[in-house]
Amino acid sequence: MAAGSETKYSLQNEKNKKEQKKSKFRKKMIPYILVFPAVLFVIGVLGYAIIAGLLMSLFDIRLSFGDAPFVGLENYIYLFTDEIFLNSLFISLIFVFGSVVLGLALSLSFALSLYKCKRTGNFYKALALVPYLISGIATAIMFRFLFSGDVGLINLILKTVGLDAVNFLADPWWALLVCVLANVWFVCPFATLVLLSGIQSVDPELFDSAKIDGAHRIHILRKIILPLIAPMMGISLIWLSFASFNMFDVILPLTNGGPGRSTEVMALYMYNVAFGELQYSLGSAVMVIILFFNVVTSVIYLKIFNVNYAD
Amino acid sequence: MKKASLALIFILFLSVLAACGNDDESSSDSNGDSGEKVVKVWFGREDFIPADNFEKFHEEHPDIRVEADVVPLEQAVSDFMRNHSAGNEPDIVQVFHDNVGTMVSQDTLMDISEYVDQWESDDADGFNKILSQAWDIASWEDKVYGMGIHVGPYWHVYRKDWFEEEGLEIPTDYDELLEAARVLDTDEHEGYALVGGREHPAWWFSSLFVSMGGEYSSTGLPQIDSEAGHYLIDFYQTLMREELIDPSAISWSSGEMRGAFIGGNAAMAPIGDNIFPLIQEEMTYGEEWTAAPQPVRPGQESNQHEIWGWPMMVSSNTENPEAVMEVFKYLSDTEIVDEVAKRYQPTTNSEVMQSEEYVEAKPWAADFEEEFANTIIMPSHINQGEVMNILVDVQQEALQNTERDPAEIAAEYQEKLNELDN
Repeated sequence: MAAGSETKYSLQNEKNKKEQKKSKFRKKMIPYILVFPAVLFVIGVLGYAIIAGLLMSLFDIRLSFGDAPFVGLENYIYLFTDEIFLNSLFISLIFVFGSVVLGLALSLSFALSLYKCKRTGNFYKALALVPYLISGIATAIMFRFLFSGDVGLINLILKTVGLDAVNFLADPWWALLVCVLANVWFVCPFATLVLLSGIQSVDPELFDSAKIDGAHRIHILRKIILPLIAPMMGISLIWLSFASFNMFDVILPLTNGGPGRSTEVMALYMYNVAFGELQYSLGSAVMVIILFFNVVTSVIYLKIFNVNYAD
Repeated sequence: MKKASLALIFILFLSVLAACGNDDESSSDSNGDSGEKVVKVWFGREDFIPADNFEKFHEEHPDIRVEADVVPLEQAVSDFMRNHSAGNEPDIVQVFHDNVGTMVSQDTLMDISEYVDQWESDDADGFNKILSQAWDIASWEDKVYGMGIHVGPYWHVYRKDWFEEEGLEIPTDYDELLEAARVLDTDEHEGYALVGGREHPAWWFSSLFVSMGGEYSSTGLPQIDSEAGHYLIDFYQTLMREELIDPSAISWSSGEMRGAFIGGNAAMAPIGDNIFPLIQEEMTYGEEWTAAPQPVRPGQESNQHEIWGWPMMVSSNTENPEAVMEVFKYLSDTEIVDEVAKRYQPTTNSEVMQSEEYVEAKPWAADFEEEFANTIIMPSHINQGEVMNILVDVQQEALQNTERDPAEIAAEYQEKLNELDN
């Protein structure tokens, strides 16, 4: 009898263990199941576009000519010997560097300010998102009005305080600076929210104990906040440089690459060759190069800032 | 609850599949139910659509249904090409005329020469009202692929009242124009306005080039390393060097140039005929403002005037070319096109252009009758997009480097242009 009940017990135990295992497996699988539709969507849409673009860049597809021969890496060789593309690459690097440095500094200061706003925090958070919600074209028109040569607000202010007006959009370096400012205005809000979420995840007791120990605000920022939000800073930097490398819809209506080609970033160059000159393969090759820069910078940020979700 | 969620996901899945699937109905609807023919038309601007939106056409042709849509001229070619590959393109698409060669090279257009000849033999009177530019602008290598119902030249507009105040005559050559600009350039307004930015192709630059005696190669490349090209570059440099234009004109779009003239901030500008009604709303023609054909380059006795057009091109896959021709006849019919021409762009229907009503609606039209009839169509190269980008570069180089030798600039960019023939 006892042996029978023991066997029954061990069977029950085994069954429970199996059920527990199953349950554990189910629990482990849930995140993957939930993520699966998004992964499928990304692979379907983005993956297809990347693979099609990559393949297209190996042919010579121009709408002006009927045939589309396989040319291997010729499009890439052409690009890296074409002074107009090399100029756009150089402009892109300056543009991205300027946008990332200025964007990160502003995002961090906005995030710290929003963290301090306790009572009206939600209102200011919503307000901070406004630039991100405005379309690129509207942003460009707004900046064109601000920096226009004769009737621009900035020049009116300069004249009011007795300074000479500046032809912002007619000067290569000023025009590039205006593009950087417009881009930062556009991409900063999202980076701010990412950093704010990082700051909010820091245990407030750390700040209190640091204060008790006599730490200065700068020390709190340098020794507590910045190290603890490093992963979030990495995410912010990925966003800032990714959005800047791909930036096109603000620059097109703002300067369209001018004066000369001083604000023609790679994304704009890609648009011009693909849709203006109808050289689809060359445009695809530029897309691959932009993708390469995005991947490389992202990997660098992830390494430097040690972004690891498992932690 | 679980079942309902599953059902919802299933429906969603089916919807996605349906959306991704090929819409057989839409691709085969060129002949609709009960033998009705469907002609799909993509207009490049809403303004080109007749006010009656094909109402009269449908009454006259109950067996043909026109489905009109607007696809901006700037994206019409690439959208058309993509849809053509998928067998989903319209029967008629309106494009900038300099894209015709590209579209022909891709075998996307139908040679309608025989249908045009048929029209001429069936209705010679009606056909003869149409200027030859209507067919020339939609042709490539002597074959007709569509019809240009509206074409538009650029002329020069002047503040007549300011000229009279200063005792100046309307310039007949570009040196006189520069002299007048020097006199009229004051603290209140600029002497001249132009489009210097990269926003548009170099249409204005090209128009001035031809008016200065500029020529194109047989393949459609502008010969800027020529006397006319050097003069044009020097003209732009002079305007900027002497500050006869706004210092920020290098970033100006057409809107800013027009705004400067209409708003009283510039004494002269090269402006398209379609903008004249807007100017007329603010000023009176013949009193405050006037317009004249482009001046000549000093030393020339006469010059030519270039026009642009937005021809309606016929898809190579259209199943109803006869119905398409009926649409062309309707769109170029005097009664229909008169309304569009009065409020928007000039037409290739000569009866409309010479009618009293048109001259009354556009009082300046009579001053350009002869020049309009003798305009030449802007030649286009097979790589027209690249040609235009290079011309914009020349324009910007001239405005940025006002001391550089024009011949040197012309030689540098001519070399780039010539490479496009290889």
